[in-house]
Amino acid sequence: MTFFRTSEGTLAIREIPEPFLEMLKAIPLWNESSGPEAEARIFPPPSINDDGLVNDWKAFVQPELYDQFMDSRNTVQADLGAITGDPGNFALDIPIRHAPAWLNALNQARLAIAATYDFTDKELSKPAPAKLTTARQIARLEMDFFAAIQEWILDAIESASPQEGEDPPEDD
Amino acid sequence: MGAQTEELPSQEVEESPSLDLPWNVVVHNDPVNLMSYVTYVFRLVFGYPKEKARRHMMEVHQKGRSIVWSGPRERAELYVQQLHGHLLLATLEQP
Repeated sequence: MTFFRTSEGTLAIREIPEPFLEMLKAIPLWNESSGPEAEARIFPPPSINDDGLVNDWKAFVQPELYDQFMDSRNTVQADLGAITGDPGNFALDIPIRHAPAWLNALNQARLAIAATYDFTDKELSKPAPAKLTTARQIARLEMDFFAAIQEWILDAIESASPQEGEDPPEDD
Repeated sequence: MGAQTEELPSQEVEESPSLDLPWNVVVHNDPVNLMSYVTYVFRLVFGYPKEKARRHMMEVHQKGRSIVWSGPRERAELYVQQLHGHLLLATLEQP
């Protein structure tokens, strides 16, 4: 599998093996198909002790966040729908303008996996297990695979953005 | 300057601490979010330079939390919403 940026700025993944293709196709599905543990993590409370704010948040902010997350997943789904190639040599193009949606959807998926399998901090601080015989071990591999794609996209955004001296002014 | 001045009674100002004090936007540690991603989000949401964004990210990572912004409540709520939109664990707190 190879990752590169085309001269037009598109993020390209080539020679995608089938097992990884299946993992990519699962990105938009993780958040939707996960249970209350994932939902609790993806929609955290905005305050530890202000019940009024928490209730208002659920009523007014969470629906907006829900739509925002769904938009990201839909963008990713559309890019995945345009995958071309043959078994062992699939190709995926991610337009650079879709990079934020990919980062978001990948994060949704990683958080949903971690919550679903209740991975501990200790487990996540270690390398993925060498054995891939259980659903939990495969899920951990998926998390690492998605993290690698996130890092690659972040590198691409970084290299396309203005240099440090051109940062916008702070407002605090 | 010998004019006499009359001392005025001190005005009692009713304070409303919950409205006047700045609110803190706090980001909490999360083992899933990548360090590079958290730095990216701080730069995107607050417009922080890379080094400042990284400092806050490291504080979250090492101390478990970082106050990333302080100010009026309405704006603090907006920032928390934006951070939640990027799936960071963020809360609004009043010191």
